[in-house]
Amino acid sequence: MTPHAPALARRRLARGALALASGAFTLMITQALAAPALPDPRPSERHELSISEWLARMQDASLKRSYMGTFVVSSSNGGMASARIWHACDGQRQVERIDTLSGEKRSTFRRDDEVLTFLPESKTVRSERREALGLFPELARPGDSAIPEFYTARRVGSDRVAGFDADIVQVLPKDGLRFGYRIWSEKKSGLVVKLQTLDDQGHVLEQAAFSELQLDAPVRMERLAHMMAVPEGWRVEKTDAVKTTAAAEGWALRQPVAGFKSMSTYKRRAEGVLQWIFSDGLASVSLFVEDFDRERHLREGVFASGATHTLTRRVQDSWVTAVGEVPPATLRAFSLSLERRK
Amino acid sequence: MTKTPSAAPAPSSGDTDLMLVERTVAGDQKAYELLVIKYQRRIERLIGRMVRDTDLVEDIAQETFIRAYRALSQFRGEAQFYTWLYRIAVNTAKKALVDLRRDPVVSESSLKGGDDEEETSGVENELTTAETPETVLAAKEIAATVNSAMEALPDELRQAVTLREIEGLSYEEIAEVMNCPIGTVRSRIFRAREAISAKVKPLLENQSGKRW
Amino acid sequence: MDKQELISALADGQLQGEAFARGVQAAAADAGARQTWCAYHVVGEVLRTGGAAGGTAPEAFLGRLRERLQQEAPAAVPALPIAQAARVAPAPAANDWIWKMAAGVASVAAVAAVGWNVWSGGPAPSAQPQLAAAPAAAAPALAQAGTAAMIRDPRLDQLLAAHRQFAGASVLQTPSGFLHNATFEAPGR
Repeated sequence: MTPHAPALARRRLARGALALASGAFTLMITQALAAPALPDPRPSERHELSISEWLARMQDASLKRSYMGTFVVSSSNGGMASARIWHACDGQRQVERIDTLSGEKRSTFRRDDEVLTFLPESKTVRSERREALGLFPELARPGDSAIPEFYTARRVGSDRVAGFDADIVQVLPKDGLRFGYRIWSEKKSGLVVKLQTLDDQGHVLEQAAFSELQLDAPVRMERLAHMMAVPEGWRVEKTDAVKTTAAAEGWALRQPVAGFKSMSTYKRRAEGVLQWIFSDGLASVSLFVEDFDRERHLREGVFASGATHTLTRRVQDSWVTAVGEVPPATLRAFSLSLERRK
Repeated sequence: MTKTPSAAPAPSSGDTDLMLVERTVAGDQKAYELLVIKYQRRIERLIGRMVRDTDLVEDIAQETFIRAYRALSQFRGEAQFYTWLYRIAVNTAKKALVDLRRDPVVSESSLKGGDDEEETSGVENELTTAETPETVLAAKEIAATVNSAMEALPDELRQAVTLREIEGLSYEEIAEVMNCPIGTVRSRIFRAREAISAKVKPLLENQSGKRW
Repeated sequence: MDKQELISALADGQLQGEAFARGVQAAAADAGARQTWCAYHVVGEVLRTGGAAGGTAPEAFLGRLRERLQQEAPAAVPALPIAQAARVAPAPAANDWIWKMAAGVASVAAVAAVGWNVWSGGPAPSAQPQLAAAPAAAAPALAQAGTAAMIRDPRLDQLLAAHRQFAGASVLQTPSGFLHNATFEAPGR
């Protein structure tokens, strides 16, 4: 396996189009553990990292390190969800498995951009390709990123999470169109071990954290990958989403919403709905657009679940459902700006 | 509209758990039994997701409640009781997995790159842990029964129990929303629960010892 | 209050002091009472999450556990009563998050995990500012106007899932999409 400069590897991963290594690809765990050491600035230097540097470090750790643990997500309305996670990376490819420990039984396997979700209760497997899986390509080119324009970050302290020392980084929005975050970043690797989403008052809307974690665990990549075989008799569903552009479908925003860039658009043909996705680098918004149906589309309004908000509204002959981890005002801005162009 | 004169906030379930813990520590083991019954199924489900072997699930769950009982005097109520119990369950299950070398993904001797004893174990073995078609069906039947019983309730009973269970409102808050005395709230919630559980109870314990 | 009503109030944390002690006695008295305690909680779980966890039959589980508990030393009484330590810091402090959004907040209502939409119309019976086009003949499960109404909306859940599935373009999706793929178990009350 030829060594790659970290930046190059990041960009290749970001494109999600890794050429598979030619020939059989055997992994030696020792090699995985000997992956190039990530930079470890001393505490005084860490104080001065820019937001892009903090985030790049966090993203790197989540992609490059092998780890396993139990993850718990809690919402401000008291809801809780938990899962076990295994993640293995050999420096180029990533394999990951997430098993829900609460709610519907679900096992999600990801191998690079291929995702299989197993639902044992219905003996169904959902198959899909996901782009930009937690990858924000712009971070590879910090200068281009919009994040520093809309957020600031500074280290506010230290704490211990799941047995690891972590820096606490407070990320605050510069305007009211997005939420703030408090991120616990493991000191040596930068891995995010705890994350809180904060509203404008600093109240915690949602919290996600490892309750236990083994970093650099000997997670076996091939075993994980082997588990992705579909068992006999299970039904395979491919997600029906077809990539398109908003313009091609006749939609546009009169005014962009500050900081949010259009990422992708999908047509879900079976449901007759268009999904237009935006992101400001940390938060994302989906605009779902479908034909207005008097029978089904009864309630306009705003709903919330933890940090995720939903807004429904009629726009001309269409029905719009805006969903995102953003304040309701942002969703309102999107819904008011959306228009049909033909 | 009645409003309680005192400013004390209504205790939530979190406080019930804490009170039950205190009472157990004060010597009333029956209080602990109530906690066990309350959380036993959820804990078993949690463990069932981590451990493949059905027989082992109950054992680990039992072990979890024993360890929690031993550590009870150290529970200070700074976290929710279930969160604390949850951690004990995960640790107990992990320990069992390690003892039995059954974590499917982690290799004990990491340097022995080579080969797997077993097959390509495939997801099916991994995922169909503690459930059989019968237990899945039983759980669905219970859910269906609750839902149809809910729909059959008079509006004010359904609303009261919904505000309590789903919205998590206190009796005081429900009294305000529904514009009635707290005693009425308590009575409505109770009557709703009675009506629904009358239909559910037959499904809960079909045969002693059997899983549902 | 009769016995069953006592058990119901106990489950909701509504009993204090003497009444609490009686409630515990009532709920743990015999297999029937325990079954009631169990059933009430199963009902709550189904309402919040749409499903019920199965498992070993409760009486059988408890029976086996009791045998093992007999062999344990009684849960020791600590030097400092728990009561003092715990009551000092009410709810949020140590965990630093708010547990629920206030009912009646005009423009925002809470969505429970499995599609129960809460429609919070506020205290005034006639005011429903956010209801733009709700027809009079709405879904049968709607309660009277002006109070919180609950309706299932699987469609909304579906779109929420699609958002979480595709809109993963964030470095804070850690680990990869799980954060926003989570199906919440709604609060245990």
